[in-house]
Amino acid sequence: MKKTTSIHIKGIQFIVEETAFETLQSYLNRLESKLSGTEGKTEIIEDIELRIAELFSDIQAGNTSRVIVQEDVDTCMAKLGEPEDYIDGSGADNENQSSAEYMKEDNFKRTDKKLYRDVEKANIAGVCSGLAAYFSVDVIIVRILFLIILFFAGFGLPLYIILWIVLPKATSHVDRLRMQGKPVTVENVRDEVEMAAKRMSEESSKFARKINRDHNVQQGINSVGRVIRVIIGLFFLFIGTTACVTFLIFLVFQFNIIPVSDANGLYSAHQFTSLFWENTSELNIVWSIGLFVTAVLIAYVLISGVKLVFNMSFKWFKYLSRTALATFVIGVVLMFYIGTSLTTQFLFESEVERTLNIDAPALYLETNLENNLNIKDQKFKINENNRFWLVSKNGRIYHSNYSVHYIESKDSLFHVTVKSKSQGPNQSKANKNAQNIDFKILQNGDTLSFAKQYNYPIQDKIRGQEIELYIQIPANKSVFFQGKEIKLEPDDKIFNQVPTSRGMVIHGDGKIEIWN
Amino acid sequence: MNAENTQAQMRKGILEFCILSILKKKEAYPSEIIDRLKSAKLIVVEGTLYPLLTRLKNMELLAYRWEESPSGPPRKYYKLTENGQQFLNELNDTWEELQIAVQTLTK
Repeated sequence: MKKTTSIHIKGIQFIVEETAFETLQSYLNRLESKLSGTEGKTEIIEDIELRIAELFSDIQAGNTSRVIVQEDVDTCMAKLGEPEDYIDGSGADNENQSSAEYMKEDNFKRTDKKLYRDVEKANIAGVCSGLAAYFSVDVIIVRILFLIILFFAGFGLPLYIILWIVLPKATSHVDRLRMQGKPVTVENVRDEVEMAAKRMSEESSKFARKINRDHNVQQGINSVGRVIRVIIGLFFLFIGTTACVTFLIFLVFQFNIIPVSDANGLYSAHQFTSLFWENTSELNIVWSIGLFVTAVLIAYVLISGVKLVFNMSFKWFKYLSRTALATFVIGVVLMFYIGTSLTTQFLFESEVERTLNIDAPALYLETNLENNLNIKDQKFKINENNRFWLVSKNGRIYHSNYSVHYIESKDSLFHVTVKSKSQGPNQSKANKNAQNIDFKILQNGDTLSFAKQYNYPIQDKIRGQEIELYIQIPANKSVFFQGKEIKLEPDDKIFNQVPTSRGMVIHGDGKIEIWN
Repeated sequence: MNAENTQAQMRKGILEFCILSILKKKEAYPSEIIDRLKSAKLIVVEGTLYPLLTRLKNMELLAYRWEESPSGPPRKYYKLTENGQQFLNELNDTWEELQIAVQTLTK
């Protein structure tokens, strides 16, 4: 006959033989002492007790008055195992050996160190990370060097892409060892495997820290690298915000800032570019792509800045970098395209001439032809004396600067030649552009009046249209411009820009004369 | 003995991974998990499981709920949290790396 004790686990009662109870009690005590200092100790004990209760219930098999005897308890203990066998003595569970220590290992015999791409620590494709591992320097230094090469020697980007293609990813452990320059001995690999197994249980503590909002995930950062990171990050943030603000203002408010006056005032940048670009719908596409590229690059700079300064790591940053790179390439291609498109429009040149021959003792030049353009109508005027470089009104573009040249006449007549010049994508278009330039000259006996501006249709677009006036002066005769006499002396060169009626004479002996 | 230490390390590292994998498809309570591990011939001592489960739960990789059982004490049903899922994916990658390494070396 044996004595019994009544226990309960989570509300379920069991009647246990006294000796069995003592065995159970001492097991739980051993368990508790092995677990002392461990986080979650209470729960672990609870779980084990639950398991014991389960086992007891199974033993009872429905018969709740069946007593739990010594053999039953022994069986349970055997199933569960000794606390010593499954509870770690330290309780701290290897959290102490960090991977940083692992990195500092001295057996760095540099046998056969291979260059790989380190895809785990990659920003875009791991090229710089791989290089950094190969040379044992902090990644940020390699990145800076790469950017310097990119900007100042011009072949950084193709170089990066070539390396991206050529260098293999460091996928397997053998690769990773080679990448870090450790000899691939069985011992080292066994260590790697051990380390990896440990790492998996370490991952948990690292992960816990991640969840607890500790963003410091980088291993073995040296402090120089950190300082550089922060400085560069701040720089990026500065550039990024400035660019962002400018961009937003430009985009949202579409300021009309270009001094091309129109009936409505100044032009916006988009309108201004449409004066050059042949095809307007194509121009809109170019603008959209351009704005998109700028937006993406600005976003990238800002995010990089934040990442560097606050030492954060985003899982998707790799993809953002790749997108930014692709966009950058698109941007470069776009610029190339813009460049070639524009230059092709200016390939051919054309010149159209007309000449007036005047037989008179003197020639009088005036520039007071009425224009169908009244500057006073414009809303924006810089001031009385400054004309806009070009004005767009009524479907035509007006320029107010043309040059006047005075040369000797071969006979006794005055010859006034107007040369209209223009460029274009092909000869016939260039010719048409030149012919379309309108520059009126009124002749009244010995007085010539010409317009203050020349103009051409807006559909022709700006193609370098210009006007040159050549006035041939016979010997001993004079030209009077706005009342001032112009007499040619040998070796004189006169260059005169009409609208401001300012003139400059460079005499043969180098003397310069300027009149207003 | 040297081998035992290493062997224990290897098993320990893998056990978490296995537990998470078991819970990947659906939730389970501890003895279910033990049975699965036993049928895969992994676990030797049952007690190993409980500290691990608690630890994983404290790291918010697992969550549990109570369910009354008809034949015995109430049960804790464990399941993977979202963090746990993510964590498992990372472990999976490491596991595959290891497999390749070991295969290469033990040829």
